[in-house]
Amino acid sequence: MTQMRPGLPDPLGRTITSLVDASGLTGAAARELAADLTEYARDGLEAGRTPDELAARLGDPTTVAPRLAAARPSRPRRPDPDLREGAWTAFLSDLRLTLRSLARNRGLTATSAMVLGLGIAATATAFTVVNEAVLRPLPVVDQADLVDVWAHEPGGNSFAGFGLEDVREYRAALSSNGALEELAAFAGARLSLGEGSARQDLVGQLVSRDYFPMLGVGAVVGGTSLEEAPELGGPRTVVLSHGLWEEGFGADPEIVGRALVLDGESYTVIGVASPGFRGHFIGFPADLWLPITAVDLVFPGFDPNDRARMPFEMIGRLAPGGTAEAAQAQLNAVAAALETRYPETHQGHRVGVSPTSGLDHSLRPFVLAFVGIIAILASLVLVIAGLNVGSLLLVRTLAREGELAVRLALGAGRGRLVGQLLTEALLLTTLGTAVGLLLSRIVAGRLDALFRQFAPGLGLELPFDARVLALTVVSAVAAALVVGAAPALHVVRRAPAASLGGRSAAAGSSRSRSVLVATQVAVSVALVITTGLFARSLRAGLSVDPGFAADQVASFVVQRDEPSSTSALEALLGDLSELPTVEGATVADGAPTGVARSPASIHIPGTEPPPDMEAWAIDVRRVGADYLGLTGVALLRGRDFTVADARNGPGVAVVNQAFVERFWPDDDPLGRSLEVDGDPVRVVGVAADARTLVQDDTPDPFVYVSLGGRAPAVPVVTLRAAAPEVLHDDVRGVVEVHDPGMAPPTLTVARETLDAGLLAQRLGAVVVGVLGVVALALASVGLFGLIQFSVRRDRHELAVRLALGGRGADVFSSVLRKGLTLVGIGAVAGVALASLASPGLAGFLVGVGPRDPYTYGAVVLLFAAVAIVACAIPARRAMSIPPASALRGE
Amino acid sequence: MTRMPRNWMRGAGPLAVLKLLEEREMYGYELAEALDRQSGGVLALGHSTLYPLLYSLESKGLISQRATRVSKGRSRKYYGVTESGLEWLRENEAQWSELVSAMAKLGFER
Repeated sequence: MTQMRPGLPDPLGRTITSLVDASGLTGAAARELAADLTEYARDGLEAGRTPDELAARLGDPTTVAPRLAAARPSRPRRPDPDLREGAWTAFLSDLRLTLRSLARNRGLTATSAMVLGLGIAATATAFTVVNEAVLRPLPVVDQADLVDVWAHEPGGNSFAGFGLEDVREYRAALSSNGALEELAAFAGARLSLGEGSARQDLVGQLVSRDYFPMLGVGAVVGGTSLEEAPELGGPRTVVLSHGLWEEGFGADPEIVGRALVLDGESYTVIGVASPGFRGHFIGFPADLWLPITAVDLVFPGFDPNDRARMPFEMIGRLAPGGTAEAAQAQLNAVAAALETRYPETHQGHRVGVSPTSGLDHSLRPFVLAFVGIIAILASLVLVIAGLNVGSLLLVRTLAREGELAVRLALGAGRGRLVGQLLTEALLLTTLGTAVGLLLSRIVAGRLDALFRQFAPGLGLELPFDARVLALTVVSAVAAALVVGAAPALHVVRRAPAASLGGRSAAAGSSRSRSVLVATQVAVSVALVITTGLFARSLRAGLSVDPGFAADQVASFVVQRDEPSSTSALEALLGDLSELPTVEGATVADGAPTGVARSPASIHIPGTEPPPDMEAWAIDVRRVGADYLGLTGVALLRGRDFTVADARNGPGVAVVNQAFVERFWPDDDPLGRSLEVDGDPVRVVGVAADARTLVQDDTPDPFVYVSLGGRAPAVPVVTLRAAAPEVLHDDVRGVVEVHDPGMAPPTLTVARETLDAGLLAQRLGAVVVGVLGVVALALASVGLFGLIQFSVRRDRHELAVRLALGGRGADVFSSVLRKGLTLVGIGAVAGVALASLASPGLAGFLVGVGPRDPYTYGAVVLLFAAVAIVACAIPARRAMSIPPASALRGE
Repeated sequence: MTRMPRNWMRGAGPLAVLKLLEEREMYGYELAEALDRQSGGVLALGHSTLYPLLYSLESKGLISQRATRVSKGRSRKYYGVTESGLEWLRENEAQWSELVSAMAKLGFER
């Protein structure tokens, strides 16, 4: 008599029953034989054998016995050691089983590894940025004792600095019992190395003699002693960075003593800094260092006695027991003394001291927030990838439903099954991590290239160190849990009998999968909304009218050892104006737009400046003839500057609209008088607001003042042409004719300066854009897979509907409706998530609010379109199911 | 692999079972496998032979059985040799050796 073995899958149960029947045994003997065979089968299933394998082996005892015997040590008169393995052996067994299984399902394994690899690449790259910006210590000694010392002016101008003589006074004020024991000064510089076609633009730093010793940075070749001469000029020495030495000079061991030409001047190399040191500022990697007294090279005509020239910043080392607050108080005593002695230039100047982090103190909160946002978004991509793969594994778990149910029914612990599923998830995630780390290195290289392209002179070093690896591993483990959770939960919640019933498993699993896909959609919608906001912000930033002809206006600094005379400048301007396509040229004391303020002390009769100030601090630009017309600033009233204004007094001024609205809202501004840095001027015009400061969204009061016969200390020639970017060589040629000794000018188009100010928006748009595209792709694939799966699962039911006269179009629309409903739910959740989180982006957005309805609406429509496409293909397949074959179960 | 005549198995069977159980306790199916494997298939006792043999040996007091709990809801019946069984085994092993020696003197190879 053959009977079905309850609790065992076919053909195993049938085999055992056959064996028992064939033995001829009855009663207790038969029962005992059946029990022994069943126990053997259970052991085999637990050890990972399939029912078919076991059924075959049951017929061949000799192949089973050696394994059974080997699993137990021979110990006489003692119970057979339990066939159950310890936890470690169980894990190894699961690992072997999983490896075999993954090797059999190469398609699933490759897909999962790629999907997870994308997610891991996103987080690993984000972690390298976080590591560089926040975690990695600077390559200096005892960073905790270092402090940044910065100046700020009334009006919050954080780009103020210290003059050369200021630095000397601050350093002289250090005493043996103060909070600071050392103070070094530095300033950034753009220099060109070499001449002619071999010219190379580099980033350098002017540093005081104690800079390298204070930071504890040594040299691999030569030394780092950049001696300061008592006067400007002095020894022209330079220290190279290790990278420049390797790449630019082939790591020449004889580099010390070699002469280099920097901006036309000869410098002697005295050493090469140790590898990894590029200055102490993240994002501003220095190629070389010069002594502080070479400041006249970088700022031609620099007069150390001109207290208004303040290009330096400082960095200090706290004395033992010293604090930043105490250091700040100590230095502010000096600042107060300087203010008393030089009220015209040091009015309201104060010193700030903060722990050295590698980031400019004013930019640090912004950078941290930006980096944090990128890290969160990258983690969301990993979550989506994890959910995607988890959904795939859930389907696979369902396919093994029978086998798992048997093992549960035969007493296999759920813990063991969950362990096997989690082992599978961990293995897939490990594969994905390997793929992701490789991808991440490529992406990091591209990110650095992008950064340099958007902001020349800046650079991101994104090394992959132990910290990044640790963070990546942690995120990979978290991803493994996400991946394994769904199948594991499914196993834990299943009742064995229900699984053995067959199809009842499908309903619960379909719900689980729907939840996974809806969650993916929600997270993707939120991410893509963020992408949309950044993209719109960038577009707004790029298209904001700067108020002047930024694309046609370019400028360069006239770098001479002696100040230029007015006549020399006029001659130069005349020749430049003769160049083809140049509409005209003029001169000013600064570029048409930039990041540095240029405040002057202004007395406005009839107004009172703020209580702690003697005069208003308003940005001023001293300009030559036709400045407004040439730069394209609209003249609202009055007139532009003339040649007569440029050549001699009395001084005249043109104020901007913001100035009028601030100070003379109800009065006629023309003809009114002002005092600018002690000089009386008369207002002859009102100009439209222009973006004279890159970072300003709202215009501030601004005053253009005539040169009045005095050439600026550092003249900036401003010219207008249809395409100024092609005029580099022509302009150089004219300058060389006028003054062969003058440093070759660098022509900068105003638009480049404005765009560089949108670095965060541009970088953000690119990075978030890539993350958004990946998220959208993953969510689409997940949705497609789910609809495909449910069509396949419901084949029978759909076939019945079609066979009973149902229309294909109805089947199509029902499948589509199911998919769109899921996307709808996910989209609503995603919109809610974005709406809650997006106010945190407000600081990075220009011209668009964090809850911009157009962006949100466009993203929802995009997902609807993607959903329609993703659902249409399986829906179309559904309506063409041949009813007969579906009903037959083919 | 040659199947032994039944009357020969009648003598060798119990001896072989007790010899194996002298090493360690085993459950029925395991014992069948061990007999088959270690004897090279010569002493492959079918289930229909082995289980009744075990019951017979048990009723004679030569072996005893013990149910061991393997895990929750699972248990196995293990057989082990008793003192009487060990005694019986010693006696019969000695007789077996005498028989083999005698046959060898008649020209049969050991």
